Amino acid sequence: MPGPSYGLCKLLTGYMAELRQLIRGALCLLLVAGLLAGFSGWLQPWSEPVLAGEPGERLGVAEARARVAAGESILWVDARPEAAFLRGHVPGAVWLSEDDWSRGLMGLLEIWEPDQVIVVYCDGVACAASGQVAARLRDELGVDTVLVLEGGWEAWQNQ
Amino acid sequence: MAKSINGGSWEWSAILLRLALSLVFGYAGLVKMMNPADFAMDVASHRLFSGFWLAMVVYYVPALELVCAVGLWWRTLRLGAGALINLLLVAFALLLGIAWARGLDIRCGCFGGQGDEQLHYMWLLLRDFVLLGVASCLLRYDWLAIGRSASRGAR
Repeated sequence: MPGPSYGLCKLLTGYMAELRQLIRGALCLLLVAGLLAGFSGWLQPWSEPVLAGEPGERLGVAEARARVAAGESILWVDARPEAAFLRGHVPGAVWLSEDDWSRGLMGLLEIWEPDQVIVVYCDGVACAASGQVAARLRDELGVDTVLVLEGGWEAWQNQ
Repeated sequence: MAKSINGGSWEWSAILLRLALSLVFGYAGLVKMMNPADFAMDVASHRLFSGFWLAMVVYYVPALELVCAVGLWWRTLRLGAGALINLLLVAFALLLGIAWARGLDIRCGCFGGQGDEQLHYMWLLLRDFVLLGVASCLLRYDWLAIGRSASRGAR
């Protein structure tokens, strides 16, 4: 009595033309895609994206709102361009951007208390400004309590 | 079944499905290839790839989407293109599922950030499964058509 492997072999033999064409076509496309990807990489060289904060340095919108509701004092820092800040921002936020660092930092230092958590945000998930500003603040103020708001202004407005 | 795909309405349906899939994949691939930095940010925010593998995904996936979109119209490549598109859609669904399970509040990056808002996982998964349904129907149609022409040649 033929075993299951015999049945499988028979099935595969019956579909040999289709299988051969599928594998040949897929390999050919994978190869062409590789060449195209190489060409694309040559035209637009790679640069590693800078994400907004490492896992321990991020804060979700829901958690941020919960902390505010629980009475924790958070100093919000808006790292978007000034025009975007003026159009709307998280209540109580100060503007601080690398475009005009010293002016923004002066404004921040006027109201910041050393035990306060600083939360920096920019436009959304795909902007790097909040991560850069947070890293610079950690460095210049010498504190670790500088977090990045996950999803930025876009997420803040959506929740 | 092989007989049933001879009908004109089947052929027209297959052309429409092929057109829809190749437009979606062609557009997605092209947009991401034109702006790899945006796509890199979207892929990196899933926090699954970094360094070499992130670069591989950022350059290779859009290129594969684009060649598969073209391959769907090439008689000898369409089975391969269909199979790869099915695999890509399964991989996308897995990535979305993982991001959803981890509670990530990120952007899809499906179309290189163009018109993609924050993830609405239900909607994106539904879209992915609809495309997967279309792609698997087309793969089945092409599979039967190839088999039919092979058996005709053997006769």
